[in-house]
Amino acid sequence: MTKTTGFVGRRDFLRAGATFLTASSAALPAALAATRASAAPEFPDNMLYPGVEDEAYGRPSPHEAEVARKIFPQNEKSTLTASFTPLHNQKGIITPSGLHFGAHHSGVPDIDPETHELFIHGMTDRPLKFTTRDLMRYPLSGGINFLECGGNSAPQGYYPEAQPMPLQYLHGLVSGSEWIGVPVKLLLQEAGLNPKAKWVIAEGADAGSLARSIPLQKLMDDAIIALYQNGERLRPAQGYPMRLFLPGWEGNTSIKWLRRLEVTDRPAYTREESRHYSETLADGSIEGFSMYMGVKSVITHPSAGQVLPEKGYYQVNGLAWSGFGKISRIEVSDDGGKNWIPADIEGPVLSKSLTRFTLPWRWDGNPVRLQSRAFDEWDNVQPTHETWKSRYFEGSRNHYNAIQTWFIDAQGAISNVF
Amino acid sequence: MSSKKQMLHLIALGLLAASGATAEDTPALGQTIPTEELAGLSTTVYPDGEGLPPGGGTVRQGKVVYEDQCSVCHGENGEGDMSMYIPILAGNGKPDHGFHWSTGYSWPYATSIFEYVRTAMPPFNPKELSTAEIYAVTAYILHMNGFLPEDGEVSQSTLPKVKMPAQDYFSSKWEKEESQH
Ligand code: HEC
Repeated sequence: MTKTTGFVGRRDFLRAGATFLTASSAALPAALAATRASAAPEFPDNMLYPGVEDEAYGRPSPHEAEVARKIFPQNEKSTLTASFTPLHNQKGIITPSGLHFGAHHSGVPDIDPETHELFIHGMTDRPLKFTTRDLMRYPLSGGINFLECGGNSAPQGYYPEAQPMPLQYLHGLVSGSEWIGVPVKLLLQEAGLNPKAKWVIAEGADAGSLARSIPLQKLMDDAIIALYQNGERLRPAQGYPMRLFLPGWEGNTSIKWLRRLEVTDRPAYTREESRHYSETLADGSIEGFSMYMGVKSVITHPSAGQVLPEKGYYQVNGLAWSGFGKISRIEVSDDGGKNWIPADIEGPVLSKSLTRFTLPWRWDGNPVRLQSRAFDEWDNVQPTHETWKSRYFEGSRNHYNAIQTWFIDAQGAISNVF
Repeated sequence: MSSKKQMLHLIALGLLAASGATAEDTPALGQTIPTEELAGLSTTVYPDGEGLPPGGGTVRQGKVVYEDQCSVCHGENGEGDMSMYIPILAGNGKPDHGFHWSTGYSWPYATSIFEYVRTAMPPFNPKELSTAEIYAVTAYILHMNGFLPEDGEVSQSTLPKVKMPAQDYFSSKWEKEESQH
């Protein structure tokens, strides 16, 4: 079989690896000789002087200051903000809490956990309220899950032409964390559900009282009132002191600064679920309450905004996720989708979680179209850009989950293309 | 699609399992919400009008509120400014681009306008409008879309009856999938 892609097959790769070894061991004696030639060994300052004392709450190295979210700021007429996760810097399925994406319609409130209360009322036997301290005493559970904004990747859906944006702006409204909290069903059971109850209006304690109607089914399934993220209490921007967390569902439904759960038998059609987080279908009709985030993947390295310095070996790195369950397979193509090579899945494969994939790859210096496509355990597969576009009306921008194409030109510059 | 069906079955099973479980293994710390606290708790308004407070307002009164407190951002005729992320409140039909929907033609229920303005508008000083002002400005938004005449008005009983065009073309993906099992 003639080799049609640059992906280094298992056997090919070993051989290529052996070549590397030979090359480097040939180079070794010269390097050693150079070291030995100098007189006394020279040590860097950090090996000569003791370092500073550790901090009570550690921070990243000052040399990593560029690893930061990009903030889409408020303006004098709008309080809406978005903070984009630097996915190109992330290796692994956990996003550090300070780099987790955010989309806040009314800013980030400062809430005192001692005075904040959670109210559960409506179609319940008893209307109940809980303090933050109360909730800390309940059985906690949760897991490692992705959270993705319904508007992640919106420029891909919205603009007719592919925008010259880096990965961070294109797909940075998704992150992964370990979320731990109180199963919502325990609290609903304590309040006692009216048999006719079917929906719950969840409302936040932000200036805009952001609210969504949530099907009771989800709240009785894997929903939690998250108190902890990545081992510590939630950050203010993630809903401190408590947020609703709905694994696999569009981010906006995981109401931050959760204040109220109003049990009812029908949805309220709040602002967020009327137009903002609904889609316009190809026939011009509007579809709302699209709760699940579809199966999706993106190559984070190499990706738009980066440059390949030279031809040769690169490890393709990426992330895949599905709101329906586990990722079952990820494939990568470097010829625009003609040949697909299975990627290696690295680390845990968890339900509704970021899943890391890699693939050894040799870039031969010619322009290529690099893509990944993910499948989940229910056989959902990521659509092509064209297929995705054909389902929606021009300009509909939410729930974009199509295959991302990175174009690498002969100079190694990487850009976003359709 | 069959995969989604399977998944919904699993959720249904989960629901059964959950309702079979008891809350015995919890500290049961919920305090009953006192009646007086319960009264003012919910700001939710449903399409059938549940949650709307007594009162009403006219298009003419709403024009005053709108010009005073809203038009600086949403524009004289509710045209919005997408470059500043300010939604278009009023339109004259379906747009030719999915990003240019107006509130009037994309929201299925007028009651949602009341609810949202009451809790979230204006964005830098929300929750300051009186009930009468909220009814009035809601009436004015409906008027700008051509759904109410210049001498029109809305009230607790009439707002849920305003028929928004999107009722004919707005659907719920959740309900569509849920109805499959
Ligand atoms: C300072 C600018 C500003 C003022 C003043 C203002 N708004 Fe808004 N309005 C916005 C912004 C920005 C949004 C979108 C908020 C978001 O994205 O979360 C919005 C959203 C809305 C929406 C939701 C529209 C949709 O389809 O999603 C309505 C309805 C609305 N405003 C009504 C009003 C009314 C009525 C007033 C006056 C009482 C008002 N606004 C005053 C900036 C403003």
